[in-house]
Amino acid sequence: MLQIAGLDVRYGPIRALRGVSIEVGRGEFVGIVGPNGAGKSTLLLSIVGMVRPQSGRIEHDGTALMGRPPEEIVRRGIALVPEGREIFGELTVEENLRLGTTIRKDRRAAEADVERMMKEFPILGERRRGQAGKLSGGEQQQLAIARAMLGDPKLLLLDEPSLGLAPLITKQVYQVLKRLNEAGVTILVVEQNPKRIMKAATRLYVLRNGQLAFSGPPEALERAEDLDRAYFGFNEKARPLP
Amino acid sequence: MARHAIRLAWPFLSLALLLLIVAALGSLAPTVIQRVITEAFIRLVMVIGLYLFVGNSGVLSFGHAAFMMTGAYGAAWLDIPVKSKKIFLKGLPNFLGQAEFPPWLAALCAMGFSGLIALIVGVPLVRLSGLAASIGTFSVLVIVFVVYSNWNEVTNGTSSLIGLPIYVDLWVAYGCAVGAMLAAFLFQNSRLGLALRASREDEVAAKAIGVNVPFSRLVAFVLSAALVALGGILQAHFLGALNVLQFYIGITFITIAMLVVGGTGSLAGAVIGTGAISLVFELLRQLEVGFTVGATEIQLPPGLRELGVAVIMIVILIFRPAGLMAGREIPLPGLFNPSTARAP
Repeated sequence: MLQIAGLDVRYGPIRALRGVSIEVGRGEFVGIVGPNGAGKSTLLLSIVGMVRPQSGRIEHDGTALMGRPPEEIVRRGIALVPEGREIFGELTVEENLRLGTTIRKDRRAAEADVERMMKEFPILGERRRGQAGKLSGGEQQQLAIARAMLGDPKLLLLDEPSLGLAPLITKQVYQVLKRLNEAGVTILVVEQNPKRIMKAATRLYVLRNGQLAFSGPPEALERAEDLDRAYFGFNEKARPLP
Repeated sequence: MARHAIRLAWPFLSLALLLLIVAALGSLAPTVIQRVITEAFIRLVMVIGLYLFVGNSGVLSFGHAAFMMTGAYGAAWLDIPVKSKKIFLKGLPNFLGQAEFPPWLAALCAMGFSGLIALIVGVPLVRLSGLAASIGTFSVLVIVFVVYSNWNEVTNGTSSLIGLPIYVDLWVAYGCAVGAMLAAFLFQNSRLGLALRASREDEVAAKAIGVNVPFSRLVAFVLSAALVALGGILQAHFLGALNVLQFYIGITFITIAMLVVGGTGSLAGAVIGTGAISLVFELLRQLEVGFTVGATEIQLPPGLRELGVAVIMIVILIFRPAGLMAGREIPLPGLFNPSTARAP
């Protein structure tokens, strides 16, 4: 469904991504973990066309995405739930949800889906006329996911959906993702904290300093020292930082 | 069901009702006051036109007076009597010089003409954001002003153009103000209006959900230009005379002040701001004209009006930057509001 090969992104002198190649198959639940500054967000932003890579290839079902504007990529069925959620705080919850249907042509079904979403996420239904900015962090995350889903995406990208959320709320968010995945949506999640994503994902990549450090099933990283090695680049047992 | 419809349309209905009360009271008042209220309604058409673009897109325009100008002159080209045109507007092409349209048709054509100009200049402008966009719109005003000031044969240059049919009274102005509000209300609740409001809050996030920001802005820009043009047309046909200086810095300043004081975030803000500034403006004008207290005559220096409005704008910007209405519409009375209405 999504193929990325040899992706290079530079911000001035900083090389955010160096020759990154990943692949996401239809129906998969793929996680990308890595420490702060590893290039995870850059990777997602490159996919949706908000960051322009220097070289490499991004293909979606055989079509090259690089150089296309974000609106067009969204219309292809790729939705991003950005870090910090980026909901429209001054608008109401319902307006935020309606905005999620911007790209849809089937207006009637889209309106019905907005109502359905408010049942699926009851808290959003309760607050439909309230300002979205007044929701709590977890509620805003639900709103961001619901809004992204209303575009009827085939591939959902999420940038740190657990950021700033209490563990219980994170668990709920992941339950939602799991359910969406079972309903046929392909999911690519980026996380700094690998714990939750290791349970949910069917496949995992570890990104470090802009390069891939590991790829494979999450079971392969189950032993803590394996994860440390991939995540921090330790060669032996964990040792204190200098 | 009826309650539901009233709830949805309340932001518009409440304002239309408010203006109706003002108009009805005004119609009983002396002519001088009627004229003041009529002028305020005309300003309101301009401010609502400006709001349609500025309020929804978040891009401040300093150039909308250009469309008042194209509208007012465009309508004048069509509805000034042919014999006056032969004296003042010798350069008009034949199809305009020989035409004498009924005023309403002239107004519609001139609104369309202004919308067309907005479409042409809008295509590059809507790609700009923030300060660059504002300066760009201001440049449009300067260009239009210079062209109309010097194109003597079709605008009578910097001299006044007279002989326009005078058909604007209190109720015509009221009707146009309500029409403008309805247009702005329908737009802000349309899909395009919602998309534009999202881009006002966060352009990048709006793009990320598939909003075509330049396109939504362009539609708003054209609609807003047509409404603002209507304001210019009304003013010209209220006074019966037209001058390029009517549509330059002065009106730009006053309409922006009205919008900022009321708050750019809601339709009610545009209305309340126009009302508040019109009131202050009129009071200060009375002070400029002079009045007597006992035996002493007090007359304040001219220019007080602009000064007063400028000070009010600064005070509002410091203490209530979102404006008097702070982005809110007029609240629904409890009767129609399910969240506050009591169970029977």
